[in-house]
Amino acid sequence: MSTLGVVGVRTSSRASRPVSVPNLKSTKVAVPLIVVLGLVGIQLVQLLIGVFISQGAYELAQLKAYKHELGTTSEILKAEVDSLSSQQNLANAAQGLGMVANSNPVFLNVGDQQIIGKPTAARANDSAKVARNLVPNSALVSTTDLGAIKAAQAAAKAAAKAAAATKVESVKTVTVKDVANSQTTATQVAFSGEGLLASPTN
Amino acid sequence: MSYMQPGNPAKRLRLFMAVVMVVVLAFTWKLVEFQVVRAAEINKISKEKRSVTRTLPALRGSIEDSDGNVLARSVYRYDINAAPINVKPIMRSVSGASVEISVDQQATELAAILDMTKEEVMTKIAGTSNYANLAKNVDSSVYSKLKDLGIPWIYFDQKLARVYPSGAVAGNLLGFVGVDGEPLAGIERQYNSCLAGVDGQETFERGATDGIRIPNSAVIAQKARNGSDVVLTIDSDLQYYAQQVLTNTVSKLRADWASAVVVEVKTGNILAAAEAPSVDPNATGKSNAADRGSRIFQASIEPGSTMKTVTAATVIDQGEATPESKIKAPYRFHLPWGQDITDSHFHETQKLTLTGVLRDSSNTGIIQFGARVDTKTRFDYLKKFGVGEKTDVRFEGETAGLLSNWKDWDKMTDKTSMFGQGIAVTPIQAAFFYQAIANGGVRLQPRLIEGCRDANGNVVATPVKPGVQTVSAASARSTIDMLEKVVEEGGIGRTADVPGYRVAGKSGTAQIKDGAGYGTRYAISFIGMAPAEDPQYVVAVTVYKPRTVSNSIGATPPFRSIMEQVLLNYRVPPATTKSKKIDTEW
Repeated sequence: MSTLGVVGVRTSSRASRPVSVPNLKSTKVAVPLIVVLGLVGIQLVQLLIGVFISQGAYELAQLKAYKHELGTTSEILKAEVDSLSSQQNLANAAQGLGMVANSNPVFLNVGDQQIIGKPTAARANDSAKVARNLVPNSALVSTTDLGAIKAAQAAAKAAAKAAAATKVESVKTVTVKDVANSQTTATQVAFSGEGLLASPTN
Repeated sequence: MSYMQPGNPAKRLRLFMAVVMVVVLAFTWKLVEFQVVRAAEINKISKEKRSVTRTLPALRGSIEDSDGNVLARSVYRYDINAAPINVKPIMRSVSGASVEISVDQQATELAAILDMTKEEVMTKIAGTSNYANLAKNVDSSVYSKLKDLGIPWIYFDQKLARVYPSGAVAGNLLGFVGVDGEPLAGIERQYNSCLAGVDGQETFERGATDGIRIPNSAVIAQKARNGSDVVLTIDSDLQYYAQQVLTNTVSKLRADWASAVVVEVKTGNILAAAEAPSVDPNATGKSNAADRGSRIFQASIEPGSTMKTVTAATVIDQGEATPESKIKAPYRFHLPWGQDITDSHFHETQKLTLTGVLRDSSNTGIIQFGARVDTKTRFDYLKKFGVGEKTDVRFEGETAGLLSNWKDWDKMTDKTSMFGQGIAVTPIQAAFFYQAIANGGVRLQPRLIEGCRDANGNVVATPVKPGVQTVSAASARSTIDMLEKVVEEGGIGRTADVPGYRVAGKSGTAQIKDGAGYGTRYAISFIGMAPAEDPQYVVAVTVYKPRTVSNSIGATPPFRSIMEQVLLNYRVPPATTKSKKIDTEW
């Protein structure tokens, strides 16, 4: 490709200066080139956008599936919560744990420090009261694990007993070995099963 | 020997150009045909192949109790289907290794989850069809386990269903919906316009190979509008408690059924409307058809002696008697036309006051007091107390009871209506006689529905109508004072006493029509209010046709038990005052 030279015009009154003129041949090629490149560019951008959008569609489909999965999990958990908090399950669990409702309320009036009502023990043999559930519920999907609660209670009792035994042992030890410092030593080692400090005067 | 003649290049060129032109014209013609002439048709076919129209299901609203505990809500359920034609062994990744799972093994896994035998599953998936149903309406837990198996020839049809988390608690009120989601009974049907949503519809295009939605192609024709929630006045814990007590009562007394209504006196709100036998809306098939409705609104029975309270209030309100007005009450009262009215048990003639008549539930006594007010006036009072008219609850199948025009009453009905025979009321009507007395004589309309709550939390409340003044406030107070004596001194009434509280109430033992006459079994009841010094709650218990007792002694234990729970539940402090001193005998 050849280009046109620079034509200089020199006047007598001032120094000559190069003046550029359009290169007509170059323009003829450049404009279509720019158009073609532009079109190609636009196509490329469009293609990329298309790819991204398509990718987004797949992501959207995945997220929707995930949402559905979470919805299913939520339903399963809701059904479990419904069952565990239902009156039927609570009544059975309470009865299983030996709980009895007391229908003799006693109120304490803080203002005048009065006791309203007569405290009496709960009537376990109230003929009109029912502890066992009698109201059907076929929507129950899970129930309170009484075995686990009882096992935990038993474990807590055993721990408390063991702690008490340890405490007595420590007191005995202290009594025999270090009578002079028994008060201090006993206070340091005696703990109840609940993690609270037991009375050092045991 | 011949030589190829030099051709005519121009001619060949023209020929070639002609052929090209024909081809171009043919393509152009097809192009025009596809792009212009048949463009719409082809576009339509193409779009039909890609586009999918899907219903956007609207969720049915929940039914909640007054504390927001959900008693009915919508959940997803799944039909489990298989394509037997595609049944084959599958590969599954187990501890990183690909293991083949035989059809037999897959059937075993399915059977364990679906609570079926392997043989049953194998029978269903045998053959070469494209469809076989394995199970219907399984819950999300089962669906999730099945999905985790990754069996490609199993597919799931999701659908909406209804679940009642508290089972039979308020089941008789809630009603139920059919398998197609159509409400069939109770509040579900009565308030369907509030609960039901409007399904939407969505159309979009999807790829032919992967089925993925083509971006920006979704056209939502109509958005789904979820249903609103119905909020009840019922306290579900109290309702459960009352149902427990009634179920126990029905079992012990070997009764046909029993009901209990707990009413908040000042508002008319129904806090519990319990029945036994009850229905679990999750499994309606397990209960008798007769037990699936609400007898509290649908059963009309002669109330018996609980009606004496209305007669006594009427007489006092008309100024014809006071609580200490005196009469002689014989065991048998001879009527001028030859018929007799007797008391329920033999006794010597007693000298009773009006209060004593109520205490002893004397028929012969109450007809003497009632006769002091003319028939029309007594009829008008019955109307004011709501006898013979449906309540505003307008429960499905609610009955108005029976109160014929006083002009049509025969001489006997004129008398028997004073002690609750010859007229019929529903348990809810009977409860509101006592609500009126407890509320200074103002009978309110029962409210079972707090309102309809939309998605934004706006509640369209059930309107509260002004009450009807049945008797004056003073007459109502006098009636309460008399009813306290029933509980303090009455042979049966005493068994309704709640220790520590002042309770006022009345028992009823009503004969039940059996053909032309009355049968040998009764409808027993006890309706009372507490605390009597300022009544807040009314409890009305009815036990229908008990076999082990024949008087209202069978209705007081459930009354007392429910009233105790009500007072405890709403933290009503025990009484610090005593009842008014009124003579019952003279």
